[in-house]
Amino acid sequence: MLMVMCAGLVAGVVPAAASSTAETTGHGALNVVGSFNFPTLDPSLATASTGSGQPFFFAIYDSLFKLGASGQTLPELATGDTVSKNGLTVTLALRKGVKFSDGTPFNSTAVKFNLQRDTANDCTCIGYLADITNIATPNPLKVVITLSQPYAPLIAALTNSSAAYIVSPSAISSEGATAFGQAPVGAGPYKVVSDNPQVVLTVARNSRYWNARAVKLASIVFTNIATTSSQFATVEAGQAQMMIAADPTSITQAKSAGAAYKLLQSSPTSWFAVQFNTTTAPFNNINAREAVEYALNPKAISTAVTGGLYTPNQSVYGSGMEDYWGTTTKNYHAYSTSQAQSLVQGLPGGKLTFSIFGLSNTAIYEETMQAMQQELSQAGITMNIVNLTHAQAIAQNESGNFQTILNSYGGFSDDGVTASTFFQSGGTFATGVNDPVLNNYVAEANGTSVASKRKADFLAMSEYINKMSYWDPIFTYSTYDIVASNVKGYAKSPLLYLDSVYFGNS
Amino acid sequence: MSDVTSAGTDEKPLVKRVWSSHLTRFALTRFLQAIPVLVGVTLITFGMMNLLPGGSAVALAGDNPTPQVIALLNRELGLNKPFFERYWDWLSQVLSGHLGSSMLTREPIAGSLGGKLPVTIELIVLALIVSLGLAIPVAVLSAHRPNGVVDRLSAVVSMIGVSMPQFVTGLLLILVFAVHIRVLPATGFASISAGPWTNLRTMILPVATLSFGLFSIYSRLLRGDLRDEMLGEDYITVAKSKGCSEWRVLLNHALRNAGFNLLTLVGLNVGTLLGGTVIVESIFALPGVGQDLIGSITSRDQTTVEAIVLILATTVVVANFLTDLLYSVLDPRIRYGREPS
Repeated sequence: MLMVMCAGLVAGVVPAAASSTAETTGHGALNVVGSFNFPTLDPSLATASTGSGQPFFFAIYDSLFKLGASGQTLPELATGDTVSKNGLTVTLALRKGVKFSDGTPFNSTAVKFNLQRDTANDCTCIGYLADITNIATPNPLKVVITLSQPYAPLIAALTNSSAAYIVSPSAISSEGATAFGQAPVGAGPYKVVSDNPQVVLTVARNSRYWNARAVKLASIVFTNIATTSSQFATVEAGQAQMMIAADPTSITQAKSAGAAYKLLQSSPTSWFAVQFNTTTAPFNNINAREAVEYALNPKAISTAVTGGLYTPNQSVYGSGMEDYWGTTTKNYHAYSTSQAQSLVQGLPGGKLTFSIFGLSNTAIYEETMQAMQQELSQAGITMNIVNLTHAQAIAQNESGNFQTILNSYGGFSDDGVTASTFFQSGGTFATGVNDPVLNNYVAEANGTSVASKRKADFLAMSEYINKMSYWDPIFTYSTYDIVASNVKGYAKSPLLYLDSVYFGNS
Repeated sequence: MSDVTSAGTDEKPLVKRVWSSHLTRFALTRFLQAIPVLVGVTLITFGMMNLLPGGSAVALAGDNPTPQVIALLNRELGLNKPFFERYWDWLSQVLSGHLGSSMLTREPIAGSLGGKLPVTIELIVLALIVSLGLAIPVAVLSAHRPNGVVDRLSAVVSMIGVSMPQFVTGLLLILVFAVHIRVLPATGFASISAGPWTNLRTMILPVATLSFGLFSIYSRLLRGDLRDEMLGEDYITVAKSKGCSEWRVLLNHALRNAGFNLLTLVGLNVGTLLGGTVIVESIFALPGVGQDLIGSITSRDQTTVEAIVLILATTVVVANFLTDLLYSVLDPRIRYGREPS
């Protein structure tokens, strides 16, 4: 089958036939290219199963909950959740009549099996599941999860982490865990037809899907291409209709091609910000941190680096996050070169020199740092750029051996995960901050499931971060997908859902 | 071990005859020399992978790692053991005939590489056929008429081929033949089982990218050697004085002798060629070993990187050995291990 598909792909048969068929019947094959990562399709073992860059996991498994346009949780395989007053019991209601693509029933036993398997396999979601002490299944459509302490991000984990995907227990049993990674069975809108790991994955419409009528495509072919220029060339050549997570160069080219392509922007959950190490000089002095914040003009940097694609922001939260409160935050030190100069003069020696770590060979980092360097120099601040590989950057972040890092992180729809990862001291990454007040904000926000209180906690936390200048937010960023103009029906969200995509008229 | 004798009573025992064969001694010596080379290459790779921060456990732990999870994964993967103990574990496994399992997928590496090696081999073989198949006639034509049209044209083309990076060549070919003219696919691969022509269509642009640089080097080198032979060698003068035509001298005498340098270059170039496949496979999304190597390095899949490096290093060693062996086939005067008389 793979060979047939490859032959079609190469000969240009699949896209052409697909498009014409789709226009008349609403079916067809969508060819998607990107830098995908699927050595295994078993979500419990996969290192990357979430985020907008890995849309095939949702296609195969669906998810317990889904993310709406602004990061809100929507029902999917689970129709709802209730949290006990003390926050220690979370009850999930499951959708009735759902079957896996192998025909076996999706029920509470399957959900329990998956959550236990995720924990046993040390899945990437294990951090979210650590507080689970018991999982009960009083009936086939109800799962009762008991926690050792309140943990609000749990529902977010069942929306946008590998724990959100439920595999067929009988398929695991019959295929064996290793084989399952290449021939997985889920309850999603599509089922796997063929899988050449890290190369090409073909999924076809799952007629047993609970909402099968909404699925309009006959199949989707995901092709992994390492270089972005080759990805866009494949789209330009008509071999593919969608490029996932396009780079700025391809975005510019797509824009210049006029009506041939559309840009699909995900709601941002990631950000670029300067992370200060407040435990050592010079940034153990708040005036030094404020000076940097005043000296930088995020709008000018975004315009210079991305042509304004990324949105200047006053916090390290994006509009794709569930508890996002808006674009402005109190205590933000807005761009003012004179204020920066004044603060620098008051620093020991009347000057400020520091180094920043950023990712090498990544244009967005290098250009952002260069733009920052220019702006800082106008305020009399010298910033030395140190380019690191991704792994080196993670290691520096883990070790805490840095003055500043141009950090771009996120991808979490839940604010609490970002907060505990980057602001709360004592985690995997050195946050550069050791402030009990900030730690308490994180604990408070993650300890409640009352939405209004969480939102208020996060806003207060962000205002406090700005007040103390622990981070200097620059801009939030979205992923942009380049889509052929005849592709319709995709949803705008922090994630990319392809269940209702179809071919229409350009 | 007892010697096995042949039927003739006055002949040497078979083992002695085999050992006294210069070719056998040469092969054994080269085999013994290859052992420290391969151990050295894998040890250096092992060391470099260990020097890279991040590590397999961090890659496996995903976006939200806790120190406990990373420690647990390090234990499971055996990454908490001392460096040399880990290397020895890996080496012992390889010596027992197993390449091990991927740290990421936990699947046998031999199985996953089995599907990727044919793609890389096909790419290399086709690139060699195309580059040599074009370089030899172009070089002969250039040498036959120096500063003629073919010579001047091939000099310009070769200059471009040598100076243009494969990455640029590949993208240019995609833009012209896939995006604008749309006669060939931009990316992707179809195996031979999909039909020879379908397979070839997916290989034309990658092979052209890889062979362009090779053709440029081979054609200029061979052209130069042919001119040297034609101008300065006594046997050429003798052949000409006997009335052989220019073409016959060129093809029957000069080409055979000039071919030695080309053969050496082709043999030594195997390492460079393998490096080129990594780039070309990435540009054209060919599911070969090169693309797998890049992915494995990025994801810190140490066992897979080691296995691929071992295969590539072994290929280079074997290629160099075969090159030396071919010398003696092409020139019976060459006998390895024998002192020159």
